[in-house]
Amino acid sequence: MKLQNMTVIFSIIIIPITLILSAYIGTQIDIAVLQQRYDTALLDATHDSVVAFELNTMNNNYSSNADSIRRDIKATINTFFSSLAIGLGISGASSTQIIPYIPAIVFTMYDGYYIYSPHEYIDEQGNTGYRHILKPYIYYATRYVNGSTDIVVNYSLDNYITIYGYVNGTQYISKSGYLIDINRVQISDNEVILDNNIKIQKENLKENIAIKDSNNNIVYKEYPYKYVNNKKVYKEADGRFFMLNNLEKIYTTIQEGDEDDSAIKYYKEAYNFSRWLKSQPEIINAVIPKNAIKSDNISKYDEFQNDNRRILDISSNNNPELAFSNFTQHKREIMKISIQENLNNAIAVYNKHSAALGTNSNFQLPILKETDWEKILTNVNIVSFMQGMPVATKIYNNYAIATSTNNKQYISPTGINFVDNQNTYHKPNCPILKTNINNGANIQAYKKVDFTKHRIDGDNKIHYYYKHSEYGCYQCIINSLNEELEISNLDIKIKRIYYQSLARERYNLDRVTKMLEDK
Amino acid sequence: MGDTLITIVAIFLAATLMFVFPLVSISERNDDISQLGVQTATVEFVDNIRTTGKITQTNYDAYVQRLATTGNSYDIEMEVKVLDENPGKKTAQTTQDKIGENIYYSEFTSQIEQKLRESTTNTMTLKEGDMISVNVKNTNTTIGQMLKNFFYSISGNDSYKIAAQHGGVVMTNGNNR
Repeated sequence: MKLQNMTVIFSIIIIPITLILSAYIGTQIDIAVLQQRYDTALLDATHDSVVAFELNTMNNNYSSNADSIRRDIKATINTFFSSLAIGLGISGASSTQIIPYIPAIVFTMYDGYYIYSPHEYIDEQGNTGYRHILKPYIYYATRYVNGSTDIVVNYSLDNYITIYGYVNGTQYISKSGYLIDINRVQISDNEVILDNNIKIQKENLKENIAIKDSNNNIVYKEYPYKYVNNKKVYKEADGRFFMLNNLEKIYTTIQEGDEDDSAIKYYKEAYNFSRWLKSQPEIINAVIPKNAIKSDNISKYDEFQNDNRRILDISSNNNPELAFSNFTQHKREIMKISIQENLNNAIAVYNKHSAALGTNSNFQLPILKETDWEKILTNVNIVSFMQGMPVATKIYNNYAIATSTNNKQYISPTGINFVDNQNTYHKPNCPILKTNINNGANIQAYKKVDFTKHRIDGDNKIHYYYKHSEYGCYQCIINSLNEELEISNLDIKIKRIYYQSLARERYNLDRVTKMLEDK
Repeated sequence: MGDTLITIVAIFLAATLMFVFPLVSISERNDDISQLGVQTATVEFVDNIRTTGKITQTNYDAYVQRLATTGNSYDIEMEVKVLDENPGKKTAQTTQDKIGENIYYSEFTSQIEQKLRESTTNTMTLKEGDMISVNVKNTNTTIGQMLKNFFYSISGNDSYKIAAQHGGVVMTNGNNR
């Protein structure tokens, strides 16, 4: 055969193959691009809803109240859907068009979590159907049974726990408090000594508040304050104390000193609670992973079969405030199992009734990465799942996590800012702060959320103010300090204020189980 | 006779392979580059609005200019969803299932452009909680599209090649300064 003929035949064979291959690769690229777009939209929407969550809870004085926080979360869900619609390029779409593609949204909080997912409902006419609802709050709790001792332990993001149930079959107990290593503290009347060298004392606090003056105008003024029964009480220049209610001063009859003793109370109550727990060998012997009962109330966990660690046996080797202690590790396993289990249930319901919701694909829960679990188990988060969107030849299935670090639900170990005498606030490990404190500056620390903008509605206008109007330090706040916070490396003076303010802020955190605490 | 015919076919094929295919390939890469540029410009433009809380004529012009540098013409669709209620209050109606419902009204490209023109500072301010989304598509036929249509034509109104979209919640209150 001649060369020309061979060339033509070669081309006739190769060109279609090339064309088909390039079309195939083109489709694959389109899929990757589209998937990337959906990922971005989902992550953006989740991030936007975290912003909405922080905004709503920060400006809601009642956000610790269960009903009130449900409203905030519902508003957050709305922001999520609006933002997701915009991200997907269908901004006019109402949430009903996107909702079938969202099998679940999880809101992890301080001591439990909410799941927003489809559930059966009955309307006024008695018709049943499926729609997304915000399910009741689920605590990070597990039941432990050892002989006649039957105990439930609620865990939280920090070392706060609640214990209730029967000890030895008859004696019913219900108690909650912060669990600490009691060998770390020495208690006396007016102060607490921590680790033999850190003196926790009474402290002077102050912040800006917005109030109405005599002409009904809104003014901002700095007042000293202290906590009484976990509520802030401000001190007037003439010595009287008042509480704040809707921009109005309400005078109280409190007469005691000006200084706040929350930090001391935190350690005293934590000490009492931990000492009480030490005197209860039945509880300590019952709360081991091997005795944990699944939510079906019968079976035990396979993964804990041979796990005999005594979780509540607190000592310097098992310090609940440290991440590698038995307590913390077991707590995280329990939190993870609890979320996985309930999420699986939610998704099973979704799959079973997905036709009623207007979609027919079978959702499979994506495996969450270890780094993502780390985020979920150490902070307040929103985790959203999206699936079912057609992506050329495939079906989209992914999730997004956004962490909220600026909220009133939880004071994380890094959630404390230090105010110096130069109208600036710092992170605990800032070198400038160290210099200032060694030069004798008077330093006080407050929770991070107090440094963000607060809004109030009044005079038919929206007002903004800062509880602490200092500027962020250029070395640590503005240009984020890249150093990990290692508390043991802190200067002793900073360490004292750090522990003191962390204790104060945690002590005054709103908690539902407060009535179970020993005063 | 047969030789001449096959030679012509071979030359034709060779021409296609040596000139048209590289041209198609290069023009498509060109579109990809434009796509990347348009996407980046859109994300920057929108994120600027989200973080500053305002749309300025200067930024908008710069954005249009930047799109124009790709050598194509574009249809820019902007939409601002203005939160028509105080998000702190969350509800105006008291029906049970209305809790948490946010109410928005929308303004679109022509209204936004008009506002920018009419404002004394050529600025449109937004507030925390508003939403902005920008959608661009090319309106001309790019060389890549032309050559592609030569082989297998796609017709219809939505036959755009370069498109970018970005949006989100405005994070801050804009001021007029």
